[in-house]
Amino acid sequence: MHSPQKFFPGSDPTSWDACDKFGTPGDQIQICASTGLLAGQPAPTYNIRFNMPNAGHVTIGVFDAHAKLVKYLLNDDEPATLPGQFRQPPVIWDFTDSEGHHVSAGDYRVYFQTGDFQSTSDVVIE
Amino acid sequence: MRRALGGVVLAAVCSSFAASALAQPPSTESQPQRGKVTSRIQRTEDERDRFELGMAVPQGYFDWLGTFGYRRFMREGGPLEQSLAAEISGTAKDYLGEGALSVYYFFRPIQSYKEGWKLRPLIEAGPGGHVVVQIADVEGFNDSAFHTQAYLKAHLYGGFEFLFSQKLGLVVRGRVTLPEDHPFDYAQAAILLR
Repeated sequence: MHSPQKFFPGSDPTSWDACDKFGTPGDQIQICASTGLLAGQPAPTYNIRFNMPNAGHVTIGVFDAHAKLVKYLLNDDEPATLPGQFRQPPVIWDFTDSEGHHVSAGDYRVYFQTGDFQSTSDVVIE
Repeated sequence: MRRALGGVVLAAVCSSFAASALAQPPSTESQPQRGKVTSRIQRTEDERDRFELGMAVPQGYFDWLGTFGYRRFMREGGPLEQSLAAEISGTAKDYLGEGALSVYYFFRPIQSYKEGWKLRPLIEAGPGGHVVVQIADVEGFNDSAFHTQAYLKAHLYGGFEFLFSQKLGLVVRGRVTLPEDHPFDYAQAAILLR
């Protein structure tokens, strides 16, 4: 008791692995994520690809299982992307916290928010 | 004159004896054994209920805990005084808040203090059931995360009570909880009202 509990993944785990589309046709946001080695990266990273039907502010943040902020991956105004294309380059998480230290194994949740739209994906580091 | 006075005294004694015999018919109940104590001191109605408003320093992530408790003394017979207590507590730190509802059943050795003492040692133990709700503010996002968990623990309290009056007092105590990562899990000071 009196210690932070595990909030994530909880009973409602989420994932961007399936490249789901959110929103209404013509105003859809598609988010895809996977772990892999990108060109120019020394080690595998968690790579987030998304499109933006309209320009807007985007915030992407990583939280540990206790819902404590680990790091903001993106917190900036983004232009609209061309139809059928993802933002370039993808947003990556190199599994470090805001101070550059590698995070420990465990459950993490990534939040994506732009305007009224919000989505999450769980990441397990083994 | 002396004979007349003696007659009056004798008549008064006889009259008193007769009245006594009439007022107290022979009882059919068994008489208490000589030397056996058949009475006991019980708490008055005012003393059976009490409220405790306090602050605690818990082990773990949080720095403080606000507490409000209600206690009902249930039974005083035997070597252990028994009481039922309910307590709500709450705290917050950084992005995290916690609220808990706890119910305890305490046993306290009746020999550990005397009613007349203003400063009393406090030793009591018993089981406690807890429902704890934590709320996390997901920083930078319009979201909150909730987590609810129920626990059943064993507790041992040690400390003292100081009674300023029949209605007002102060209780200072520490708590050992099992099972728990840090068994000495909180120290508390509370004002008691009854």
